[in-house]
Amino acid sequence: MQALAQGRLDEAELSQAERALLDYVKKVTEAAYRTTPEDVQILREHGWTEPQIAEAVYITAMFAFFNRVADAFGIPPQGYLEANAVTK
Amino acid sequence: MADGDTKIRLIEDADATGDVAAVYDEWRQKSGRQKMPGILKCFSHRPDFLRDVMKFSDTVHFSEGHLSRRQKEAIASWVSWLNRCPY
Repeated sequence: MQALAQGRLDEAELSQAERALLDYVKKVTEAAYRTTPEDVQILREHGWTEPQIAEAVYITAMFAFFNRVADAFGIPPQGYLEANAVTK
Repeated sequence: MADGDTKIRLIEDADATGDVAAVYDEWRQKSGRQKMPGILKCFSHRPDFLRDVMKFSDTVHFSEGHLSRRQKEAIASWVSWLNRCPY
């Protein structure tokens, strides 16, 4: 998780399927309008189900929301991963 | 940079009153922690919205769903780095 939080995708212990999902997540984050049906088909071929793909998009968009707010307010880093219990 | 030095002022734990104090207390009871996370205090100007934010993040992120909690955390970490968000 630490590797991911520092952008070192190659060092994160990910299955091929998880790596494909995170590649897709990057595209959704940076240019969702450019994602294609083929992008989604690749995920299906890695075994991801439609509900899992949809949920990945929800989490991706939700964290874009939190990231924008956190950066706009300029709150100091508090190790969101440790304090990730927004609520238990 | 203590929490107090944010670009946009937010309501600190000690200054919360009324509905903001109520929502903060709800979170403390539910999480078992005392200090409000900075990200939640960002929503202190709309405590009603803060309740919604806590609810939907609880629903989709902090619960089992179609993806495992580990996979969701991986997405969260990766997205936050992509968005250059140190939080």
